[in-house]
Amino acid sequence: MTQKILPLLFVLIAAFFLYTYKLSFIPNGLYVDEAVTGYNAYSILKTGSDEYGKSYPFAFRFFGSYSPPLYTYLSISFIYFLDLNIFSIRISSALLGVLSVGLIYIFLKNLDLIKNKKVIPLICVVLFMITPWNFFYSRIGYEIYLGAFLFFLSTLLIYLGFKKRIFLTLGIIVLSLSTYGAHTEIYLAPLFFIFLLIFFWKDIIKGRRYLIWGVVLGSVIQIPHLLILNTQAFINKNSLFYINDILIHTADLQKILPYPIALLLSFLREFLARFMTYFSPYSLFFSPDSDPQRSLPGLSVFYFWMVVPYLIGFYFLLKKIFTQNGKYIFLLAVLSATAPALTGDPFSTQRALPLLFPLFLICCLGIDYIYQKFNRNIFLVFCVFLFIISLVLLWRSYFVLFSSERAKVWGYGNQQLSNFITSNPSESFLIDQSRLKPLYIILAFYQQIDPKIIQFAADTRVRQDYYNNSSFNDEYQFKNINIKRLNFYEDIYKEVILIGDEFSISKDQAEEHFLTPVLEIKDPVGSIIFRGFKTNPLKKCQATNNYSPYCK
Amino acid sequence: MTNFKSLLIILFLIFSNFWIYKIFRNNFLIGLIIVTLSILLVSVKSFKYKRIIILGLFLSSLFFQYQTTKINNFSTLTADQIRIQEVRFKQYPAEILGINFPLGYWFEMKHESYIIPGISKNLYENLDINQYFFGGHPRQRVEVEEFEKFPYSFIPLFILGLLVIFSKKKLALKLLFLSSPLVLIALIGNKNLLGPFSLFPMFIFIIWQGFSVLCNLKKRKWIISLFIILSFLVSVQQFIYGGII
Repeated sequence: MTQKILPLLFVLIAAFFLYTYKLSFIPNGLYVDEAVTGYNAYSILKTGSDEYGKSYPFAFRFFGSYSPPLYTYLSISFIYFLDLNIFSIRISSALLGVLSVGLIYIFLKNLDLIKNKKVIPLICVVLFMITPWNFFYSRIGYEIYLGAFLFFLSTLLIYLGFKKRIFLTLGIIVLSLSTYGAHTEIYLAPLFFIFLLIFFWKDIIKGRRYLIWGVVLGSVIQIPHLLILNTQAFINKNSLFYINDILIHTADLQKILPYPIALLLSFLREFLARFMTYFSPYSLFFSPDSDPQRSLPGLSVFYFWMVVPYLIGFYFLLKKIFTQNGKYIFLLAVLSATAPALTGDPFSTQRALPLLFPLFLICCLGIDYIYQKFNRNIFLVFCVFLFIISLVLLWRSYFVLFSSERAKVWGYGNQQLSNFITSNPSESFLIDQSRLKPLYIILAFYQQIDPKIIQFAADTRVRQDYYNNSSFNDEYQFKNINIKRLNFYEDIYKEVILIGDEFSISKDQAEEHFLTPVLEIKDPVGSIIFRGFKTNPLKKCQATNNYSPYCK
Repeated sequence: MTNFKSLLIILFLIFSNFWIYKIFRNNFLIGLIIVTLSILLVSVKSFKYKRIIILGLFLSSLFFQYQTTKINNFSTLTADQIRIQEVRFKQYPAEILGINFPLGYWFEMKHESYIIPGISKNLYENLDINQYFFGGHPRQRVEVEEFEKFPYSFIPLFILGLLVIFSKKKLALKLLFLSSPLVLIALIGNKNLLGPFSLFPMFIFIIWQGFSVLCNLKKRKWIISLFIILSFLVSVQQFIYGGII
C-alpha cells in the first residue's frame, strides 16, 4: 500500500511546491479581478457585507459581472489566517491545482481504456502537474479554477458512480455546487447533466435511489440561483453570445437563401468554427490565447510535443467511442468546448478551462498507446527527456518571460503607487482612470481600507436593486484619493498630485501647466506604468492672469 | 453504389469547394494536376503505370507548391522581432545556483532559437483544421490571405476518413502523401495565394474514405441526400463569403 501511495504523495508534494513557489510575486502584480475578489472577501469578513454593502450576496456584483460567489467565500478563511495579501488570495487556486493532480490520478486508475494502470497514471500526473494550462490557472486568485475543479470533481464522482452508486449522489451534488464556482459552469453543468441522462440512462437508472437523492440535494443547492433567476445577475453573460456576427452574415446570405436557412447556416458556421478551435492542434499546442493576461509567452496550453499523444489518443478514443469510457470522455470534451464556443472570443482558455481535463485524459490515452507499442525502457528514458525539456520551457515562459513581459497587464506598479500614496498622507491625489482598470479596488486592497469607507463611497443606487444594476461607475473618492477622468480645464487649478498612465500627461502639457514630476513607475521591461505630477495652481493662475474661473 | 454514382460523388467532392475554384482561376495547370491526382487516388481501378503517374503528379504538385510560395526567410528578423529579442535577452538571470549559464543567449539569440519556432509555426498552422474548413476563422492569420477551402459539412467525413485510413495496415504510402507536403510547407512557409494545395488530393482521398463509411450505413439514402443538400448549401455560403456569388 505504502509503495503504491508513496510516488503519488511525492508528486503531490512536488505539485504543492511548484504551485506555491513565488506565488505572491508571479504573476507579477495583482490583477484587478484578484483585487476585487480579495477585497470583497475582506469586506465580508469585516462587515458581513460586500463593497456595496450587500449582506452575503448569492452572486458578487463586482464591476457588474455578478461573479459566482464560492471563491470569494472560500478566500475568507485564508484572509482570516494570513491577512489580506496576494498570497492569501491565490492560495485557494493553488491548493485546488494540487488536488486536481490527485483527481487525474484517480480518474486514470479507474479508466478502463488505460491498459497499464501501474505506470501510466503516474507518468501522466507528473505531466499534468507541469501542463501550462493547469499550472497557469492554479496560480491566479479569482474564481475560474474553482469552477473547473468542482466540475471535474463532479464528473469523476459520477464516473465512479457507474460502479459504486453512492458516488453518483455525491457527483450530482458537486455538479450543482460547481455552478457557484464560475460563470462557465452555470451553463456547462446543466448541459452535462441533461446529456448524461440521455447517453447514460441505462447506467444511471440502475442506481435510481441514488439518482433521486442526488437530484433532490442538487436542487436544494440551486435555491439561491432560483431566487435570482429573473435578475441580471443570473443571465449576465448571455451578452457574450455573437448574435451580431450571425445577423451580419445572415444578411449576406439572404441575397440567395431564404431567411431561416441563412440564419441557420450563419449560426452553424460561427459556432462550429469556434468549437473546432478548441480541438485544433494549432490552438492547443502552438498559438496561445490572444489575451495577454490569460496566456504565457511562447507556450500554448499544452507543450508542442503533446500533439503526438493527443492525435493518437483522439484516434484511440474515436475507435472506442461506443464503450462507456469512450463515450463519457468524448461527451465531456464536446460539452466542455460547447459553452465557450457560444461566446465571441476566438480561443478563451479561461472559459474553456473545464476542457483541460478531458483533453488531458485523451493525451493520456495516447501515451498509454505509445507505451504498449514501444520498448518500455526507451519509452521511460524518452519521458524523462521530454519532462526536462517541458520543465525548462515552463521555467523560461512563466518565471522569466511572463513575469517581466506581462507584468503591466497583471497590474504591476499598483503596489508602488499605493506605497507612494501611503507615504504622502498630507497630499491629495487625483488619479486619471481613463485607460486604467478600476484602480479604487486595487488601492483599497493594498491599503486595506476599512470596507465601511468603500461602502460609503460606492454608488448608493446599487444597494437598492443589487441584482439588477450592472452599470458600473469606476470613479471613486475616499480618504485623500480621488479617482476620475482627468479634466485639464479644472484639475490643474487644484493643489493635488496628478497621477496617470504614460498617455495621461504629456511633456508639453506638464510644461504648459507648470506641473512638477514627482513619480515615475516602470515595469520590469522599462515601460512606463504611472507618472505623477504635482500641480502649481498659484503659478498657473499668475501666468494666465487669473483667466480661469478656478483661480478665483 | 454504381460506378456512375461513385464518379458523380467524387466529382461533387472535388468541385463543390471554393478551393478548387480558386486554384483553377489562378493556375489551370495546377488545378489539372491536383484534380487528376485526386481522381487517381480515390479510384479503385488499377492500370499499368498508375503508381508512377500518381507519384509523378504528386511530385509535380510539391514542385508547384514550392514554386508558387513566397519562401520564408528564417535567418532575417524584422525590427520588431529584434526589439523583442533584445528585451527578452535581458530578462534571464546571469547565473543559476552560482553557475554562469548563458541562458539568454541560448534561448533568444542563437539562430536555432528563432528558426525552430518559425518552422513550428508553419507546421502547426497547417495542422489547424479551421484553416481548411473556416478560412482560419475565428483566428485568422495576419500575413496570409485566408479563404474557406472545403465546406464545413465535410468535417465529419474528414474525421471518419482519418479513422478509416489509420485503421488500415498499409500506412506508409498514405503517411508519405500526407506528411511530405506538411514538411515542405513547414520549411518554405504559408505565403501562398492558393494555400497548401499539395494537400488537396489527400484531403479528397480522406473525405472519400469517410464517405464510403456513409455508404455502408443502414439509412444511407437519407443520410447521403441530407449530406449533399447541406454541403451544397454550405458551398453556396462559402462562395458568397468568397465574393464569387
